Amino acid sequence: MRLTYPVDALVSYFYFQRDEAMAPVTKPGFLRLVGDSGAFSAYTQGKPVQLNAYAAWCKRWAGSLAWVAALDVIGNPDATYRNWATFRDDYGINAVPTLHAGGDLKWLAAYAEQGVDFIGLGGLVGLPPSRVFPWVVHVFRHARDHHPGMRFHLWGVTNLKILNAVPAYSADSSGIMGAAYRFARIDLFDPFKQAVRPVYLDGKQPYRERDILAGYYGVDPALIATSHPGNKPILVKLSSASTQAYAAWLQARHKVTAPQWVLGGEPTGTRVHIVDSAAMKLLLG
Amino acid sequence: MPATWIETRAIPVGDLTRFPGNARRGDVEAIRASIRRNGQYRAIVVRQCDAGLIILAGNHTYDALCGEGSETARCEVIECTDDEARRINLADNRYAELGSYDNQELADLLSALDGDYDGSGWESGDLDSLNALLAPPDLDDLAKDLGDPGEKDTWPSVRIRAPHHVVAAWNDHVKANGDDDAAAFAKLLGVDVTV
Repeated sequence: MRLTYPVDALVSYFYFQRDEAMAPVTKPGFLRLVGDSGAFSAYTQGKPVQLNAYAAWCKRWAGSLAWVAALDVIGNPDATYRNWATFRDDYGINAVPTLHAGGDLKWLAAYAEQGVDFIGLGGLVGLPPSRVFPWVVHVFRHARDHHPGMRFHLWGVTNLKILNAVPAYSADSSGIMGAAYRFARIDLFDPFKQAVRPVYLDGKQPYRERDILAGYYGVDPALIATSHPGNKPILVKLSSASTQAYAAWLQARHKVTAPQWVLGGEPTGTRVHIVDSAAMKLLLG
Repeated sequence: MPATWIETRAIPVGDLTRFPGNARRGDVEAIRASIRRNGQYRAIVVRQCDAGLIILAGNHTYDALCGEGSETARCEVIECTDDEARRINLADNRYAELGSYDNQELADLLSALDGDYDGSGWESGDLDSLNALLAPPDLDDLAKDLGDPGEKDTWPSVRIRAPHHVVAAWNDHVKANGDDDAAAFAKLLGVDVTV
């Protein structure tokens, strides 16, 4: 199968705080991990993330995390900045700060002054893409004109219209993975048509898509004609391969270089990180 | 048994017969344009049998040649069974439509024509569409299309289930605060609506 390891993935402290959770996914060679706090999920479950505990986790797994996000505070850019500075000054962790949707763009300058050229755009999950899109474009235009070296991670965004349009360095979404074995459908990126097309695992369509399944992804349509527990690992790997193919196309399209902050200029964007923890485990086997 | 090639030769169009029941409906006018510009660059496949010379592949090329007044058509003459003849006809029509394009390579090829698409089956608008697909849009053009972000566009929504009398009281509270639900909510919480 056309799947290249390591696969870009995202782990959240809230879900992976125990060593037993991190140990398998940090097995060398399988996943290229980035980390965030998962603070929003934690907050909605009444278990706010403590900065010191999150910082300790970041340090504990520093060797396995390509970069980590600072602990952001939704709706409070001052506190978000303070948390980012605390990470750097008190814990020695250079983390990626977050600017929330609708936030004042003066914060780009504030972080840039500190040598940061990599910022996450957050608070976008759950908002209709049509409402988010103008603001995202507004940020990219501002950065182009005032901070041309600034790179962005789009938190929770895999809307194709947005990713196709703006030169994001990276993105992540739990929406990319899992559809195949949950809803008997897999969204495959067609590298020739430059489009994602749904393939329904109805016993027929996979055979009609033989050209892309067998010809490009190297998967026998018979193996995924229908979705069942037995072919879950293949579907997860195929879905990951499709995400990689899409990311590769974005790389060719936007030619985004990597930020210096936390990454030192490698690897080239655009990176699309998978989030589904069950899928990550299947990628290991 | 596979079909057997006999010869390749020019055959008077009057001696050829279209494949009976050919299911494909081709674009004869487009093929005629290609023939005018490029000539007949590929031979028609013809079965030699008791019924005469039957066209298995290239029925619309034959139509186009007739339309252009050609007296002969270059043909690959083969011998095969009735079953093979049907399969060749079906396969020739089907395989062309099963393929797809690498859009980047297609755009490169079309660009090399320097705007003269005659005889290629493509038009200038096709290259424009391809390029729009291949290259990211200019951010300024995009901003023009999308408009400026509205202040409230990026505000999340709050959904609360409440009994009717509480909702009625809430609606009154919103009305009393200038019909601005965000301002009314902020006032209840004792916070400023702006950060």
